[in-house]
Amino acid sequence: MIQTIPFNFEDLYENAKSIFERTGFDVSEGSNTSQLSAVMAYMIAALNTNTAFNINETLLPYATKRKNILQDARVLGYEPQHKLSYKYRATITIDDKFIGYGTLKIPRYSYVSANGHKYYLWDSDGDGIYIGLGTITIDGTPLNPEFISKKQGTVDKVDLKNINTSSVYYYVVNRETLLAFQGSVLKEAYDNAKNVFNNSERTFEVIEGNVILASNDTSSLQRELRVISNDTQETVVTQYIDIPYNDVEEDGIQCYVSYYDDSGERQQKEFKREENYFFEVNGNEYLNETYLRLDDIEMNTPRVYFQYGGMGTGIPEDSTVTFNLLISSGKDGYAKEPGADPEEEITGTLSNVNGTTNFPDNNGWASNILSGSKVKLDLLRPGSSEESNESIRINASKVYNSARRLITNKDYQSASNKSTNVRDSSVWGGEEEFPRSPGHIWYSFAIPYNPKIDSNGNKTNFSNDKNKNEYIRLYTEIPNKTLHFKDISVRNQYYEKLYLTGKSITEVLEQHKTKSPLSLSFHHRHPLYLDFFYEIRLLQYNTTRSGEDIHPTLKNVLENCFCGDDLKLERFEAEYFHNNIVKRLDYTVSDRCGIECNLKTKICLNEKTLCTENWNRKYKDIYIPLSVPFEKYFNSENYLDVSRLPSIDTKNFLRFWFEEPETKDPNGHAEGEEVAEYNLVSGDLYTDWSYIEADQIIKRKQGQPTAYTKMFIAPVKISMQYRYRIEYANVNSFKLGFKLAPDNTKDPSFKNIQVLVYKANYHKKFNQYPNTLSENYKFLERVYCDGDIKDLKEYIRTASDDELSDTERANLQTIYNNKQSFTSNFTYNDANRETLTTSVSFAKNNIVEIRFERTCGYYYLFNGFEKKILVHLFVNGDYCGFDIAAEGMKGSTEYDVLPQEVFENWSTHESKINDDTLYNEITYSDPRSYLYTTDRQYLTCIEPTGEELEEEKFYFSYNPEEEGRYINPVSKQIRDELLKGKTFEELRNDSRWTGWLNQLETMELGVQNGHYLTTEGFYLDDGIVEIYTGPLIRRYNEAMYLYSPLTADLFRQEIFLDVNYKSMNFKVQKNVIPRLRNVKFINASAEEF
Amino acid sequence: MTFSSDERLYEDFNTPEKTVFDEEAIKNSIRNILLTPIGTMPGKPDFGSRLLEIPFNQNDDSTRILVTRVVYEALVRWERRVNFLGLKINQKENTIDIKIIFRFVDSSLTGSINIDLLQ
Repeated sequence: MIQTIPFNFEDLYENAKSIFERTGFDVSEGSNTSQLSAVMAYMIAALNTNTAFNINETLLPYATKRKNILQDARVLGYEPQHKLSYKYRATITIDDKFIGYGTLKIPRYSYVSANGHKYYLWDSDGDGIYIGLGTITIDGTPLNPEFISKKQGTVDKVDLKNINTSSVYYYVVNRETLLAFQGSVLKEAYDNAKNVFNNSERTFEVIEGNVILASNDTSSLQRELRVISNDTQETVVTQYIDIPYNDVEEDGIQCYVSYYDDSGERQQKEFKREENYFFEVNGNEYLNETYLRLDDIEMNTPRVYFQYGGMGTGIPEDSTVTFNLLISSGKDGYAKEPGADPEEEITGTLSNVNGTTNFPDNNGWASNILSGSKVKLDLLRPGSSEESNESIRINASKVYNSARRLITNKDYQSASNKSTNVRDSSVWGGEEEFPRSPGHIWYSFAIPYNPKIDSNGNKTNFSNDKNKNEYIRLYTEIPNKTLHFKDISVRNQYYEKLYLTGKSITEVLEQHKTKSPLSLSFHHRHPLYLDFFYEIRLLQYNTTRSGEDIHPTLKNVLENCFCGDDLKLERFEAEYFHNNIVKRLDYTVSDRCGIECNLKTKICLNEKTLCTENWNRKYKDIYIPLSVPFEKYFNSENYLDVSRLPSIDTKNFLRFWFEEPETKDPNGHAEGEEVAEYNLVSGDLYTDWSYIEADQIIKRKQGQPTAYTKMFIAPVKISMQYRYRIEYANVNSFKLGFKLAPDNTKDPSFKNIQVLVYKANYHKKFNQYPNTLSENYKFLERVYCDGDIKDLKEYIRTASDDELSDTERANLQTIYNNKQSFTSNFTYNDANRETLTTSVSFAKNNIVEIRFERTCGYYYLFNGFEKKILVHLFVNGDYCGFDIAAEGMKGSTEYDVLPQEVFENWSTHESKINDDTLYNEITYSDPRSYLYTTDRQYLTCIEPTGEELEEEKFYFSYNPEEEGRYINPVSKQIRDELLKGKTFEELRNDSRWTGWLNQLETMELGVQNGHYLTTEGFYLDDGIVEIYTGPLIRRYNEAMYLYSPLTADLFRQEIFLDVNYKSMNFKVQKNVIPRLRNVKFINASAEEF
Repeated sequence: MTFSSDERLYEDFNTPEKTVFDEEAIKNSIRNILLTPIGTMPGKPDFGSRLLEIPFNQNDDSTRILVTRVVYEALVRWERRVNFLGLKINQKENTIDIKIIFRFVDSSLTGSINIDLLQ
């Protein structure tokens, strides 16, 4: 071991003393020698500390000073991101009185002023943008609309919108020539101009900052490479130029180089910024036409290199370089006050670079086309500060390790994390997707925290509701009023603090595209927040620590675990162990207080979480990846125990009611709609494990354990219960407001559609109607169904005499005995399934209740090493059943209805609203569809139906009577035949079953073509035979989307999906990211003393 | 980190058999301890005594008790070679003369030193 001088004071002091002692000096504590030793040791310790500190500053992970971090990162070839400016899309409005004025030019560097900031037209090619206003041209002569008059010799302006096309002549003075045109000729010319006017683009991108043009500061921004040295007075040529300005935006340098070429001609070229740290050889041997920006670390000013470290061709010595700069305000450049109402549009005024607000047309006919008009701004990308020290430390080494190549998913992650708008990212390849999709990459970006400064000056992510003893995460709730806005850009203002904007995503991914293989396709899915709701009950408060003291302390402990330095749970692929949290809370409250900590986890869904990666963008998907790596879900006999899996069953997943009935006109319903009020009583989501359990019953008999099955697939269903109050007497049909469809599982005898008709005039007020099943049966008038209603049977069996009079009992029995077939009494036509028609009329004030269940997705359990789970939900974006009614979903739980709103909803609904939003602002996918490309030949294909019926054999062999379920007699007979070995084709040809089996196919609503997916590889088409390179495993049917109870409009606000883990130990996957949402203290105020 | 005797860093020092000190060394040490205010020694913030805080306070009967306590605490903590026996204080108008009496730990001999504090 090498002996060195000790490091800290104590060791040095002891060492010095021992040396003095050995030489015979008195070294007792009070002695002179001891005092001397102490001073010597102190000095050496101070020197040691300084030396160590300085050495640490040379190592990136330990460096603390910004300048040292920048220098250390540069050694690794990493240049941190500079300030980013806010970017907006500006939309101008032009009065249509300017139709025919030619062209409006918005010059480059024009700017919009808003909230004290300027937003520049910075990136346009050429000298600006041109907006066509149309030209009224007759016989090749452009006419000035100002001088078209009705009478010869007058200058009265004609209202061109109302040109008289009869044989009226109009006169125009054009270049001192008087012309006359017939009204119809003039109208045609005017319409052509109007067409150009209406179709011209009125939007352009603007970026926040302060532009400094070279002409404003020629001494700094118009430079030559030759400079005269101050020391030696000699002419020195450098291949770099310092720009003496701070806070220059990341892309805020425009560089023009003027030089003499080989033939002696003066040339001027615009140079682009080299994104990589080094100059790449691009084939142009003479000039790269790129520059490298490396900021001066000491001065924090940009230095522009044309040659660096021997790389790059440089530029000729006699070159003149001109710069235009954009100085950025970074994250402070928001165009709105921070607390402003997001509902308000952001507007500003447009000025040209000289500061004047006049924008004439190209003919000079009108002095200001934009007189008095405001420019609307929509956020494209938020601004941000320079990359933080922490981020540089983490990313620089990762980027160095990846050598700027993008190969592994870690490379992609570190390249993404470099962006200051990305706090954390998750990247996974198509091989991890289901179905496997080679050649595709998925990203998910988490946005940086948006803490608020509280009254004490501390940063916090929570608001405190003292009355409820509750801490609520900021910026999570989407306000009700967003539902009113069809315009996605307005709703986007609410999402800004939760999700990255489309532009920001595009900017990050576009950079990756240049470095990754050309054939790769990129997709982005917004993070799925797994919200943590904690309920904490302190069993005993003590006298020294009150609730006011301990509640924020415990909240801070949790906040530190999630958002702070402890545990860092709010990141992708985080592992959660509940005991870790309880341990920290328990330690904080000390042994004198007991603590109970309950946790609920919910996935927060909204329109941002819908994936538009399908072959038809109207068919949207929700993919929820889960995993249970720390659990065992097979029982001791090696059969699946579903109770050990995470449950997604959610009561009232869809909710539907209205608020404030008194304020609306109760008579405002539409004539002919026939229904006064309606209401979604329940929309419970659950996973139907019955097929798998049935399969296991068979497997158990055969002695085949299921523990080695590769995959388990269970349908996810929603149980729907709607109620309607009939408005008029003798009504035979009414509009439903949703698509009625039986469950699309194979056997229609399970939980089919039921229509229950309750007696008229039982209750005037709809919301007072009884809600429990046993209460309802007393008032039943009719029942329609195709199978039996299990609940009804059970009710009759268990009812006591006290609950029903003999008459009612007899009536009920009659209803039950005379139940009517649904299909023979109701029809829902194929073309428009929104109307329910009956052969027996309804009476006024009849309450019609419709119950049905429908599959809306699948729960996949991949029985592999990682124990992954995928929940896939189908969402119909083709249909907005509840555009306005969805507003009610956030109302009180005491459901009530608004006839006026029902009317509004249905009147809109009748015009068949399609949610045809392009969703460019919402998701990023390139190509947009990966399941189905434009040539329709990737991964999926169109297949004739038929073969899939073989699967039915398996399902029909399951007799659910064993589980106490009802089975339709016809189904039972078919099953028996199948078990005897008959094929479906044989049964279909048998007249006894033909009708039933055809009906089954009818139930497969929308069976046009099946779409198949492969787990492996591609679909090949060699023109002769269709080949899949992997086995077919999953059937896609458009009916899944078309008749899904989940419609895109329902996701305009938050919908929570409960995720209950058997034990609170799990790991999140892919784009799922934990988020501490709510901390609540129960019984706190009551027990406090 | 400390060095054992066989791992010496500097070999050119003479190494006597034992440390040399006498009565004068101990008295010097006591003076150092009592006249060093606590917190003034680099690297040893606890070293010293609070004796020098006394002169500018009220000079009355309580001063005697205060001085006794301060001296006792400091010597017990920092000078283990003597046992504190007591002290004599002569309070005049502007001065406090302190005579500290002690016994050496390794013998039966007693000694004393005088410290005069002048206001």
